[in-house]
Amino acid sequence: MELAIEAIGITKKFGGHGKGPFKKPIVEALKNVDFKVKSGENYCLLGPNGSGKTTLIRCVLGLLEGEGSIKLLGYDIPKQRNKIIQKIGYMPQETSLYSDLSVKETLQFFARIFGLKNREHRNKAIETILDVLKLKEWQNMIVENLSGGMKRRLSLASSLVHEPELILLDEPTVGVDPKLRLTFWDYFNELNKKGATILTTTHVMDEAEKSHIIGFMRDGRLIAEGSIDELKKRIPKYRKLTVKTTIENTESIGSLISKECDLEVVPSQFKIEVFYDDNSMLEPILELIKNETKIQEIITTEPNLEDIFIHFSNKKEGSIDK
Amino acid sequence: MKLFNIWTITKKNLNQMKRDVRMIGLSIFAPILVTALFGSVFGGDITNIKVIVINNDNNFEDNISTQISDVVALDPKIQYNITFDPNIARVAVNNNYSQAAIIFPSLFTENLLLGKETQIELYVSYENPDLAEYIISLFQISYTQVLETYTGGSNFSVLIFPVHEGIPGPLPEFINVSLCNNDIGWTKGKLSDEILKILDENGKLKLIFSNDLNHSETLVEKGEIRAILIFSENFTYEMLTKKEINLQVKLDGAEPQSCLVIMSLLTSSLVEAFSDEFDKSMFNINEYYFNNPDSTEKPIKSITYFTPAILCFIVFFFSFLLTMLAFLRERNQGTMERILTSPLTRGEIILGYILSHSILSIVQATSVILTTFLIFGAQIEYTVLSLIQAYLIIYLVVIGALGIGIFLSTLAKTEFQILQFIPLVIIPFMLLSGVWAPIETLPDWLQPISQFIPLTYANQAMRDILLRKESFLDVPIALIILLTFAVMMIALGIIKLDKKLK
Ligand SMILES: Nc1ncnc2c1ncn2[C@@H]1O[C@H](COP(=O)(O)OP(=O)(O)O)[C@@H](O)[C@H]1O
Ligand SMILES: [Mg+2]
Repeated sequence: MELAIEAIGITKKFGGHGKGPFKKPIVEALKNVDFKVKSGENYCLLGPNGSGKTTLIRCVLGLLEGEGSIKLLGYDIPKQRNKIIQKIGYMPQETSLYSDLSVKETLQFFARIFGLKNREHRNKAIETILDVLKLKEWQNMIVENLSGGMKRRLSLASSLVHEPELILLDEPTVGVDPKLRLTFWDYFNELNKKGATILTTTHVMDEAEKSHIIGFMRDGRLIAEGSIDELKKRIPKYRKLTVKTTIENTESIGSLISKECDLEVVPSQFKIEVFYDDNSMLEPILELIKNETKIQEIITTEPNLEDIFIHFSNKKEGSIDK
Repeated sequence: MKLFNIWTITKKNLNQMKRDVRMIGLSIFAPILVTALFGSVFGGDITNIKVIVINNDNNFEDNISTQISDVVALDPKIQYNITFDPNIARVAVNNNYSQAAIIFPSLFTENLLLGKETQIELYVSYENPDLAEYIISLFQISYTQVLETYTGGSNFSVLIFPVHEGIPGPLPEFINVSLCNNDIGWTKGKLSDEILKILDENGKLKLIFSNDLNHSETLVEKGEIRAILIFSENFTYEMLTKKEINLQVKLDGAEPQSCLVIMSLLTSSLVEAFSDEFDKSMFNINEYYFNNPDSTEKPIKSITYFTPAILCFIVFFFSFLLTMLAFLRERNQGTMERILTSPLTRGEIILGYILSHSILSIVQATSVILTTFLIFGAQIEYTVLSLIQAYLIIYLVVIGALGIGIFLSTLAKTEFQILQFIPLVIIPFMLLSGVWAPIETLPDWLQPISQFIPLTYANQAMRDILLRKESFLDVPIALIILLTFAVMMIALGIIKLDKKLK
């Protein structure tokens, strides 16, 4: 299958300039990342703040210069960027709009700079996007006076007005209310069905589940990627036992279980979580817990995205897990 | 490079400007305000010079001292008071209540008529040296004129007491003056040489000898030389036989401050050269001013002098500041990130900006031209051709300002840091480019610096075109320098506008 994004060996360092006491510390925001997105995929980069998602997108777009090689839609970045730049829609993380233009002027501007020269065509594209993102009744309002959610919608509209093939959205749903969030995701999926490749980033787990492929980022590394089902299966012990306890601190019980049974344990307040694959293990685990505290509640579930993320994060170092 | 893309940027900028009513108001009224301030603060048109006369000479009905004071007072710039206490006068000059004090001793008229020795004291504030020179020469001319009618004794002297001397002021270092000395002399030799010797020793005027009056006149008209001193064939002869000093001076009226300096230097050296003759002789200096469309008897008004330079300066200042702010905003609000990931090229972005800013600058320039012309009566005869050329120079200035603006905006992170560029760029540009005083009045060590400021050439070219009725063909070097500067700055801007985030 064709690759929409192919980034190999991306390393990006910030700082390091200046001398003596003025020397800025070096931050390694990306550490030898290999990152590929297939054409037609709906990919979500998931990772906590500061894990390097924005930096990766900026590198991929050629906005930042780092080590490694990048191809977008088959063309070298930054050398051949001009050939495909019109086919790319990018929404930066911060709302980047002219506060003193009206909604319509804003869309006219971005439609024009992305090459919608024909007036009729352009006006139609603007009408469509205004409709889809429910901005029509505000079209003559000055951006400064819009609410946060409306600004977010306009920011999205500005990135999509030229109907790009490859869509890069950096945290598109930050500051958007839950209802609108759903609308956004429905719209992304619709665009994806029509053939657009979509790359989003988020730091919220349940958001990521809406995408087909999830890539975990942590400390400048892409630590795992795949569909949720694939990722779940890659956890060897992919069932989760949650036991609610009466004592608050479950650390000592946790370390006891992980020592005795050789299992992955996540202790927390009034609660302990154990990952297991064999039902015969349940008996001894519960036995160990019962010795220390009273059991309030027992639940067994499939692990969720958060658990998967924690699992991959705990695995020390190593390259991308496939 | 696509026109469509350039216009997209321009249109966006114009849409933004249109919303900012305050900015539109500011860009139209600020030039008017600045022009008005320049005209009145640095007016150069000296008025209300306060002179105190202490007249102790009171034993005649018609005192010679009063006659002299009256002649001084005839000058419309002088406002004079009479007092009888010399101490008050000295204190007044010391404290700047008054620019000068003239003290006539008692029995002045009587002693003068009897040929007895007598002395006038003149206290002059040198805080403004130009003004001091002006007052001294005015005083000398006045008493010479009065004493012409008295053939009596000449046994008096003037003691000049400079007050506040040594405070630096814009004293010219060199003023080029051409000299046509046709004086063939008389038995005693050439008296004209004595004047020239004094002028030469003074060192402020650079005398260039020439016998080609026509050529010298063109040079003055073009502003390459400030004045021509013409001594007639019979200069010495007339002086010795008719007691007439006839001298013709032709000046570049487009440089009023230099004219003032030249005239006061000339009169004071005349008086010095013929100190033993002056009371018996008649001074007859014929002044002729080029480049003043209203009159050949005086130089242009200072508002006329400022207008071309204010045009350049205002346009430079606003383009520079607004470009820095606009690019800083693009960067800080993240729209630059979008533009940089669009098909727009750097050249298109810059050209789009040049276009919108030049529309703004043309509005400003027009507002300066109209204000100075309609309200302040600047004596400039605009023609279609001169206007076209003026606007082209403005265009070059805008381009240069834009380039520096883009370049410097990358060095600032906040609006506050932008403010710090004002003293670094704007103030030197304003002070050293000859906006309100000719470059030749700058101290020696600053003159070479002003040669490195592109606005100097814009001001020069603009003055040549508007005040001296020259054309682009007459100012090729200034144009080449401006063009080179504009191209260099744009190149710098393009490099700084690298398609990357910093
Ligand atoms: N322009 C910059 N200068 C210095 N450090 C930066 C810059 N941009 C990002 N970083 C650093 O790089 C790391 C990754 O940041 P970022 O890509 O913004 O993370 P995310 O988008 O995942 O929240 C952070 O530690 C951040 O501080
Ligand atoms: Mg980010």
